[in-house]
Amino acid sequence: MTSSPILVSARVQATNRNTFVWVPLLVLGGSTALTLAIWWVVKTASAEAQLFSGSVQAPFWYLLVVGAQTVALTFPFTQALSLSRRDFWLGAMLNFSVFSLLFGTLLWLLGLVERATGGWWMNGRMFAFPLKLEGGVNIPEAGSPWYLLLYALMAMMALSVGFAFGTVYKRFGPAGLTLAITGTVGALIALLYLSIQGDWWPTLQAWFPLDRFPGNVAIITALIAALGILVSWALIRKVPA
Amino acid sequence: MSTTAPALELRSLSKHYRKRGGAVAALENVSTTLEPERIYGLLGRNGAGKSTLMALATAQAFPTSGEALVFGHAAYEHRPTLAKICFVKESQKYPDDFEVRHALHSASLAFPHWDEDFARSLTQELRLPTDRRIKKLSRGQLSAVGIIIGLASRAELTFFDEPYLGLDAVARQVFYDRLLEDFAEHPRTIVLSSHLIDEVADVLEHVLLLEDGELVLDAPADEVRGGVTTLHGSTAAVLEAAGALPVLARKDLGPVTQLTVRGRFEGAALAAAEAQGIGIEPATLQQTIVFLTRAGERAEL
Repeated sequence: MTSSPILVSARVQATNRNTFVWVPLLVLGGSTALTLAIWWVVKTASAEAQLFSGSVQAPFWYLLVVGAQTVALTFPFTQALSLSRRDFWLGAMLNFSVFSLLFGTLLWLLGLVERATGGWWMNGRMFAFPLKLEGGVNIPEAGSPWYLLLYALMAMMALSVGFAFGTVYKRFGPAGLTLAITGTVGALIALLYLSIQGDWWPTLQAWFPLDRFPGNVAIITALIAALGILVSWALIRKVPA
Repeated sequence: MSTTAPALELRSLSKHYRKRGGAVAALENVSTTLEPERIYGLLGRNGAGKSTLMALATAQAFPTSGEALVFGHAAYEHRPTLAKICFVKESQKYPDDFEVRHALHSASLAFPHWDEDFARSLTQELRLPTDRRIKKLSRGQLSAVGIIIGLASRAELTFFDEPYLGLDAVARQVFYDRLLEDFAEHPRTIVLSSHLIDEVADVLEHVLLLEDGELVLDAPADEVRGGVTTLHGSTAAVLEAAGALPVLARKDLGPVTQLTVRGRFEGAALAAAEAQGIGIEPATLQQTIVFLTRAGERAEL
């Protein structure tokens, strides 16, 4: 054997090019083409229309599924290949990181194109956050290097959260997964309720000031990704194939 | 005495599952030792615990108690030990949208002794379409994937989980021939699990029989094979020839009796019985095992 088991694990998990190359490109290409078509129709009807789209989120939903399937289907196969659970996990993390970096770069480059073409010749906004916030909030223009970081972190978050839920499923079965999803949603609702009841917003704003907007989003995204990574690591060592 | 560690050593291995109304034992206190470079048959009915035993031995699952040592070391998270093992489950899961060639390429990366030429010739002989998605394979083709990975990996301890499932007669013969040829050139420890005992009987050197999670038979195949004999002839002569041997089954048809006994007829005993006009027929491995397990069930009643 010439290479380390971690690299073997990463290569096995990336053997089928569909997973990390063709399907993400297809989803991204499809959602972008659809958005441009809709914009063109809108622009024909009303030349002054402000065009925003959140279609760039589409591939991230796919990545959530990729993360979950990595544990549900790829993990048992790596066990048949006699790879350790640790090497499986490290290989997955290596692939996720490399993919996220490349995907973030691609979306950032598309943002540069968006800027260079004057919003795809229609003054549209797709590869920058489609937001308009009041009062000194700094939302970077399309093509800003911020988006390389933000989109890479969002890809990592989607993959590792999917991965963590996949691990819960393999360890505790369908009932455990349902409980984990319900629990997470319940906790988020409870948190929201408490934040309103307890008037936490000023405190939260102090922690994450709006004028440091892209940096804050990056930190929160990274924290959620880290949580997914930690949960999956804590559970994977005792997951049966 | 040999200084090499056993290929597999099971020490009081148990696996219980929690179910409503208490725990169910999939494997109960199994202890045995598998020597290197031999072919073992792991036999038993569906649900007897064969897959559980193999999953525990390869650290794909976790025991409730006891331990399994592969060449002297537990396989769990131990790279050098894992590298000696190959176990493709009968119900193996593969990554979504994997084609046969993806699975074989992955195996070639993972197994240190992988023989690519061997894998390629097996693929041709078993007529496995390499560009077909694994999801779309027939049961027999799915078995063929496991067979190819198992054989071409040349792992020191290789498990074949129900390798004959869905295979046609030609493919069964290919597996049988290639297994024995390759075993002669590259001796290793092979465990064949099967609920169809006669399918694998000819290859086996040693038999492990599981019944409801318990190891009820652990003996060389030759000792088991022919350990049960059926006598056929006139009642008086048959009974006399059988002597004090334990009777497993008796069928009377007028003056003729068919008696199945535990014991073998060889040499003088065989000649004497045949001189009396008694038909002597050693039971096949499968018949032997069926008789022995039924006898066990009766003894428990």
